[in-house]
Amino acid sequence: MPSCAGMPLYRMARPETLAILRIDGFTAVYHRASGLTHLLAAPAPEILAALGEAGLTRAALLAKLRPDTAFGDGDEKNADEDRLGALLDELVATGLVACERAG
Amino acid sequence: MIDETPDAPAPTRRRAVMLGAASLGAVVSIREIPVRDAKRSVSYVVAGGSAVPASTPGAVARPGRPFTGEDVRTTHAGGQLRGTNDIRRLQSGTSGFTCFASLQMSRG
Amino acid sequence: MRHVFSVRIGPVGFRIGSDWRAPIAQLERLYADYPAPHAGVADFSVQLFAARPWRRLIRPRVMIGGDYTLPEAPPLPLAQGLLAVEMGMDLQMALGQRRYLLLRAAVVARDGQAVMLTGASGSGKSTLAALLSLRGWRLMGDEFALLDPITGMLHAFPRLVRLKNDGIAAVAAEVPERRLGPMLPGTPDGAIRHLIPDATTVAAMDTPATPALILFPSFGLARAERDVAQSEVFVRLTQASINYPALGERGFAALGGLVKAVPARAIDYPDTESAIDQVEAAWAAL
Repeated sequence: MPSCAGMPLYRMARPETLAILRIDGFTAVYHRASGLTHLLAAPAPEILAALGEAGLTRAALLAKLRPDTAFGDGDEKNADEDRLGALLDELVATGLVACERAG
Repeated sequence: MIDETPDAPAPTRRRAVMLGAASLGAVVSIREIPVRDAKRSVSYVVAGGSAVPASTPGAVARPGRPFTGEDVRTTHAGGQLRGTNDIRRLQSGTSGFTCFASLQMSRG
Repeated sequence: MRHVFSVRIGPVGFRIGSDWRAPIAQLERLYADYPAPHAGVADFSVQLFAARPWRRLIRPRVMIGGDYTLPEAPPLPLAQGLLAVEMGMDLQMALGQRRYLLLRAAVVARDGQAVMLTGASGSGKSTLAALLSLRGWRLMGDEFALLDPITGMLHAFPRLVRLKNDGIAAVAAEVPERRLGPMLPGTPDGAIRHLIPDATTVAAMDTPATPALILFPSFGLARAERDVAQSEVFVRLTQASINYPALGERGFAALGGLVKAVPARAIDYPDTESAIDQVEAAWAAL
């Protein structure tokens, strides 16, 4: 699995590299570069949409997702960021998300 | 031509996206793993991509070890899955000729 | 290849060459009413050959070759030459077919609307398809569904129907002997016997049908039915597909289109009589 250590910005793959279909509660994604098909369940599609092409750090992404997400209380924050990191790692492994250096 | 883009969450609707659910995995990838079949003896090819620990729930691919058709049949539930959560119910089944392993890419 | 037979099954033309006369003679009888390949040109070739010259005569073993091969595939006894031809055809389709998305399913149709019975080899779909074809349904195929990515239509591939074990008796009870191929005992799957599709099926094989219902039948369980969510259908059909990765984005679009447009049900059935009833009921409920 590629490591994102030292590369804190996450960016969605360029839209032209993806073919996307909404299928009931899931989002099916065909990744043209790899020829692979992935099915994403919440919150993966929301993460992709929030990341967009701008590039966000984990914390900024969490902040962007928060207004529309229901969490437990505040002391869950670190755990949420870790879980988000784990999911981001999976998305990076599929090639749907790339990580890069800041600045 | 498929041209949908993933929507940003609708501002008028409070979407209950539980990030805690990320630990159950939210990505199912369709990969082809040619299965050595007793009749046809298709050559074994390791599916590309990251190695998934054998203990990962739903993981099927064990790099370096060839599958037999029987392995695949016993590993997968086969048939229909009932009463399982969203991601898990997508992971099942084999074809007679090649196995499309659904890898649950999750961290517990 | 001293002996040759060419045939078209649906849109696919095959040229079969053989070191032995017997399998070719069988093909000539069983596919007697089928057309030749378009313009006489086959899409795929299949060859039955002896690994060594003496294997042509002494305990003859049939090796399977063709445009696409599996070098490690073990040979079959000559008595099962028909199965070798079938496996050879399967292989060419699996590795070479790019025009259509191939799904492991039996397909039957009525009034231009098609029902897919999705299942792996040996799941009982062939027996079901055969029995349905004797009850007013047009058989489009018992092994492969051919989905056209451009039109979304299903194209018929009505090969000889491959009946196994108990299925043989069930169908043989309802058809004259001349519609059946030779009994082939002792195969890895048990006893096999082929049913020749009827004249209507062969005559209509160039007429595509609109997919109207996807069924996931499971044998050996108490009778039950449930709807299947589109996402589950999508994943299960990628698993039922022979050539999904090879078709790339066209396959993705074709499958997505099918899944979004066509309802799907899982049916558990204890016996074939129940299955037929359940298929008819699911059809009537559309």
